[in-house]
Amino acid sequence: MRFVSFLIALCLTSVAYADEPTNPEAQAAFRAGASAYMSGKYLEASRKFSASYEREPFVDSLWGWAQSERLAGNCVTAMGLYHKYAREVGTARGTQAANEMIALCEKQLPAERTPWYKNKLGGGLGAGGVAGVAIGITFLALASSSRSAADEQMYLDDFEAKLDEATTRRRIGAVSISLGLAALGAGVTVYILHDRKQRSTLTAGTDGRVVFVGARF
Amino acid sequence: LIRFVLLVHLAACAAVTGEFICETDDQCRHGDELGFCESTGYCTFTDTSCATQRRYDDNASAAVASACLEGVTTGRIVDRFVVNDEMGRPLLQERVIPAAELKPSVIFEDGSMSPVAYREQDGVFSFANPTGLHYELRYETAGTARAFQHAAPHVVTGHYAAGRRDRVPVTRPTTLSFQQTPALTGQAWITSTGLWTQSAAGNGSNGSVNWMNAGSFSGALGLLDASRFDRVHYVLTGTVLGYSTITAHSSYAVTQIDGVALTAAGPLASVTNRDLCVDVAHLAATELARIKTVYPSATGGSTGWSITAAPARDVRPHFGHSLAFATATTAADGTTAARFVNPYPGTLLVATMTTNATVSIGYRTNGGVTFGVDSRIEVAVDPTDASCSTAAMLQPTTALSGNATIAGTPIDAADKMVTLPAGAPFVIATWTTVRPGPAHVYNVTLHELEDDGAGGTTTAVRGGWQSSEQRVMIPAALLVKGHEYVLQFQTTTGMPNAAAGDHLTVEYPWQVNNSYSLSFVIN
Repeated sequence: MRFVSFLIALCLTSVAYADEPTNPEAQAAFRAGASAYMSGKYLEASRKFSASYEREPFVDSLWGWAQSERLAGNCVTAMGLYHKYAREVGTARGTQAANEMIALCEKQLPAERTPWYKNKLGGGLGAGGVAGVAIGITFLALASSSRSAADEQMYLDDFEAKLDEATTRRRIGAVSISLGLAALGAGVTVYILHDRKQRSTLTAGTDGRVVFVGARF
Repeated sequence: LIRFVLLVHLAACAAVTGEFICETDDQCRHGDELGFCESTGYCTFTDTSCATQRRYDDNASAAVASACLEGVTTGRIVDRFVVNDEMGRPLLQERVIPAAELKPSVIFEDGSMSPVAYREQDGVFSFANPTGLHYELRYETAGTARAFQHAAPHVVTGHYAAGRRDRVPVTRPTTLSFQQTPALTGQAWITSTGLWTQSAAGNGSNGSVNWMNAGSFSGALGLLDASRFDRVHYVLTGTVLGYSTITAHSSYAVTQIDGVALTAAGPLASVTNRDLCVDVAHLAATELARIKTVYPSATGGSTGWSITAAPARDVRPHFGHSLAFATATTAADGTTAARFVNPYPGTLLVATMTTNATVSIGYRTNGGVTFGVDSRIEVAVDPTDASCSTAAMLQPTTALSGNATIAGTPIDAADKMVTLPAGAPFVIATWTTVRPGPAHVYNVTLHELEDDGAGGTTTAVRGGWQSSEQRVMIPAALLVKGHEYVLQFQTTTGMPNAAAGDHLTVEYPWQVNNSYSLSFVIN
């Protein structure tokens, strides 16, 4: 993937130096963006290409911006920029290149779009937690039953045996409930973290004229 | 959440508790240990660190759980006896006394009584004593009434008999004869073990005894039974170097049938090698002098010492067959290297000395009657050969008691008038030590002095009590207005833990001294 991007970047570079923004500030930002891009500093390259494009809506700046975002891992943002590029480039070759990049991004997105409730770790912890709490409640009920049975014993040995049984059951119940609650808590935490990670794909951008939003659902 | 989980864990760590309410001892068991169901409704178990030797179970109410039982006097009464094993050796055994035989009861110094709970499984008893009053525990063993006074929260006592308990009584003349060879001379004795008896049988190798007249050491006479390993011995004694000892002996296993004469025939073996020796120091003159420091007018002084073969030691009373002995009409200090044989297998030896003296006590101004101010000392000896390296020091040291006080009135003169407190169920008698020495137990006897109508005095025993304190409770009903009494103190050592309630532990030397109060008259 990075090799393909590199080839495209080379292509972009050759185009860029053949045809650059005419606005001096846009041109300087464009060149700085290209330089950062070549150095693998994609976020910096994105900012420079974005700054260049804001000063002069030069499509190659838009292309470089889109590429930089994609390579920085922000495919949703990149896809918006590719779509914009496809509309503005006005050439079949440019539109095709943009569509290829969009397709590339879309291949990456499904893996990131797992719904929170399909998180296996969270699900396992949650299910285990519920089971633990249920088992714990059952043992607490059994402990109460043993304690009641103790009062019905005729002999001290039997009374103590029932108390011991009640103690053991209560301890098992308490430990089970504790572990269950801990597992439930861990499961919820996993879901929350999962959700937060999903939210990181929600993004927005603007080129000064158009506001675009990208998100996973 | 974490706090909640921690709280749940803390709650779970504590064991589940509860109160177990009992109604009978059988409900109070810890494995094989049988506890006690107290009147509180909670179980206790034996714990020697408690004064009452009982501690509440953890499952009693919170107010008493794990605490020592209080407000109750506990104890145990045991009956011990010896039987012969298959080798004819005595074997000490213990029996729990059936409740119907024991008939325990208790009366407190304030005259109140309390039921005595007695458990036949192990001979343990208890009675409520919430304020720790002095008490008199009364009971019977083998038909003999017994009692002792104490204030200890736990007491153990027991009685001991020489011989099997399951003896078949002798109801008809049952002659036991011996025809033995060779014909030897000497004082003949017919003795037995298993059922311990001793009877004089005349002189020589052939003697007989009507078993109905045999001298039982303890309890009723019984018929000898070879299947129970009973043994009968025939011994001749003779004087050797100033003391008497066994000169010939034989032994038989016989089974007697009530009313059927039986003859044992066999050889009578002369003693040619007296293989045991004890160096006996018998200091009777020293002891008589000690008695006279309290009773200068004491007369007499006859004395005797012996070495006996006992079925058991560390138990009371002492029984034993004589192996060597000597008597004298006047007290003298001396040492005798006593050589002897012991024909009684498995027996343990005890050396004893008695010193006898008397004092005269009379009713008012009448002529008196004699009361013994004698003493006795027993020591354990274990000679293994004829070297005489084993010594028996027979020199009594027990305290002599006197200076009585009756109901607070010091009896400091003869015929002292005593006014009793009105309505009191018991009259408290106390005393002190008038001749220093150890003392563990006191047996106190109340003698009444009466006018015989001829200027003399007669006496009658009105009661007796055992105490480990210098104090007894005399039932007020026994002390009659105008009547005259004297107290006898039998001061005993050899029960070192008696003050703490342990009347079972016996140690040597065992010593007894008799002394008396001055006479007193009830006002």
